[in-house]
Amino acid sequence: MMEKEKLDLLRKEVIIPDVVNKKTEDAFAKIQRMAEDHENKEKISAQENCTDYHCRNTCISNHVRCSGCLYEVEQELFGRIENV
Amino acid sequence: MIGIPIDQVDEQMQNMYKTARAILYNDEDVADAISETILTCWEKIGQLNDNRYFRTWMTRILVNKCNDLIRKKETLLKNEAPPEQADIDKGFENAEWKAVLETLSETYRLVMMLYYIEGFKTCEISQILEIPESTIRTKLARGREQLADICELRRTV
Repeated sequence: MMEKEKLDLLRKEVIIPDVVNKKTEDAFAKIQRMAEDHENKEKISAQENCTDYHCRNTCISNHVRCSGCLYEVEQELFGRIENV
Repeated sequence: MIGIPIDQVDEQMQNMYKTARAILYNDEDVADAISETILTCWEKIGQLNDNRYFRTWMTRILVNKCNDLIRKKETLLKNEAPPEQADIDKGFENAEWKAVLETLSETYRLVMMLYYIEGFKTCEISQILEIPESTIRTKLARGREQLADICELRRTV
């Protein structure tokens, strides 16, 4: 086999073994789960960080989004839009 | 949401497999290295300043993961009795491809793979492997010589 033929053979598409495909899928599934957990934690910590008792209502009425009640305000606003 | 470009990772599966297989000897280890690379990419994507360098960055992570696995195995072997059989992949998938790969010595295999198969430039390979570009060029020249020698030997036999 010539030098070039060897390189061409190395360039050709290989079959990705099942074990590799399976572990890759598992990694993506784990990322999906971690991303969801991260999103949920952000929502919880945003709610926990909100120290202003009237903040939520103020934000909604002024259409201002503070970091404290961002998630709830968003939901409230979306809710209103949907209701309209 | 997932921060890493999944489409790019999917497109690179062939290259990732070939690169990892140039360093590691069995598909189980290759699978571990690739899955750990994907997870690390997701965790560290914020450290990548420019998406144009995603492929180089991801390949560097993959090479490091492969080397980590080799180091771990070496440590395990030092502390445990040697296995009865050598830990080499016995699968028949891609047999011809693997046979050609194994004709290249370990010293030049990865550099040849990154340059000729994945199409990286020597400066990019230098970044991936963290070795000087001049060393990459020397390894490529010697790898080509070795490949030519093997071909010549095969023709004369």
